[in-house]
Amino acid sequence: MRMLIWFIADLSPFIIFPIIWLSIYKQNTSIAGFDRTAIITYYLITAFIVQTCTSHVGGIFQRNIVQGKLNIHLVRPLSFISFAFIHEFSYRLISFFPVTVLAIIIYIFFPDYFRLPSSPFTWILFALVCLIVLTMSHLLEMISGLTSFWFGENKALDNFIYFFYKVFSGAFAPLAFFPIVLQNIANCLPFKYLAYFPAQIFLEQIHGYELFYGLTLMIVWLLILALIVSFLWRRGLRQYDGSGI
Amino acid sequence: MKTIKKYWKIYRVLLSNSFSYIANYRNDAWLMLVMNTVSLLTTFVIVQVIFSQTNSIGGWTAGEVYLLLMVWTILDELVSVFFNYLFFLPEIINDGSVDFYITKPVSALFLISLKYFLWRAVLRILIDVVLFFVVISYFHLEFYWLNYLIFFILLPFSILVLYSIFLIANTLAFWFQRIDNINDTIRNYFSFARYPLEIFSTKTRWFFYSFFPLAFTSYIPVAILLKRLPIYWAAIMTVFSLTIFSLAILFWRYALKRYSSASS
Repeated sequence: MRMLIWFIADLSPFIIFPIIWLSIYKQNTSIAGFDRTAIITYYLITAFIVQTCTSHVGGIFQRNIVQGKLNIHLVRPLSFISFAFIHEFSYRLISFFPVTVLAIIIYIFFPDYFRLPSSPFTWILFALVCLIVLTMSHLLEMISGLTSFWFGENKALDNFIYFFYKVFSGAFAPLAFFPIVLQNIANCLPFKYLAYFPAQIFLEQIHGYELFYGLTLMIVWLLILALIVSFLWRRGLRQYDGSGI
Repeated sequence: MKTIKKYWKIYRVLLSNSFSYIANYRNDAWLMLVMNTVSLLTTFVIVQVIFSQTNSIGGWTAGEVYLLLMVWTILDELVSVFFNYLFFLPEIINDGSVDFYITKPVSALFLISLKYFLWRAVLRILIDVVLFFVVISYFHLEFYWLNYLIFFILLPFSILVLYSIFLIANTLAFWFQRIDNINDTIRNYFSFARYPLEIFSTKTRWFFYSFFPLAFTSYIPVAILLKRLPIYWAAIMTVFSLTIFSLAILFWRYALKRYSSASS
């Protein structure tokens, strides 16, 4: 029941924003290269990504560190980082089914509002990028959670990351709709690779050099985030005193 | 009169207890203030992005949408300030703590709804109110005094509608137990009232005026203020809010009979 309620809660922005944009499309046929079908597909795909590829593991790290429950994991043969990833991955796998069924239903009943990729290469690339998105999102959440080694409470950082994610990932509106200043900021951050870039791939709006450049930067961000996590984990364990138990 | 005095005396004690609690967690209060400001800022950025592509949504200008957004934010904060403990109802039903409230010689619903006054949010509301007037001034919004008066009279009724919705939803915990996240879901969907209802189809709008009555939160008072709805809607809203409040109380009483006291 809880999972169903979370599922419904997470869908809300992907209902309201297409409706807002559709009301604007009554005056315009296209905005920044997005027509009506593209914008609806965009929101359906970002909803899919948010539901299936967005990790929420920061809280698990925070609670285990603050409450001293990490001790149990430190003596187990499976590392806590692997445990957290498997835990989150299985949860996301379960989320995959309802959201896919929902997408299929929408495609059957409203085919004019959902544009599928024409090339099988796009499908394969999108699936691979989704796996990278899940890993990147997981690493970002871990960075937030691991700061609990020093600060205990990580709500502030968590909210700041969420703020940047909300604005610069493109989950609430395609970044092409943003003023140039905000687009430039988004290009310097990893967040756009968590929603906007995969949605562009699905919509086949990005090709050739641009696609290669985007994928390269995505991998670079993935490695940077992994290095930060590795650094924080090693330093944090030295700081950790197991209190709270 | 005697009963009112008795309840007021209890409420003063509850206010005092809430203040003692918050005094122990001052840092958390500042942190939450920053977080809420950031959240409001996010919404402002999103609205700004929308208006960078158009001059109006659903016929509403940027200033009018910002006004609607601020009213919704203030209402949401007010509900959190006064009825914060209500959101813990699923939790206290689960652990059997409802025993503690139903055995007291006062209304259990009164205690559960008003037990915790969220003092830390008072400053947030003050900031929101200032922003409300900043929006009016910045966008040069002008209102007729009668509409202004009706708008302020309607706000408590908006809070009553929101309270009733949250009460009905949380009362479902007597049947479904672990549904504490229902509050986030309701808040997410009721936040649609931050945008003009004119963007929705006629059928959806009908839904928002009846089964999912988010029109009765921020939309109707602001629409009356902006003369987008005739004044008689104030009477409809008053009747509706009192009706849904009565239904919520009846539902609570019915559900309380199901309570099996898990812990004792």
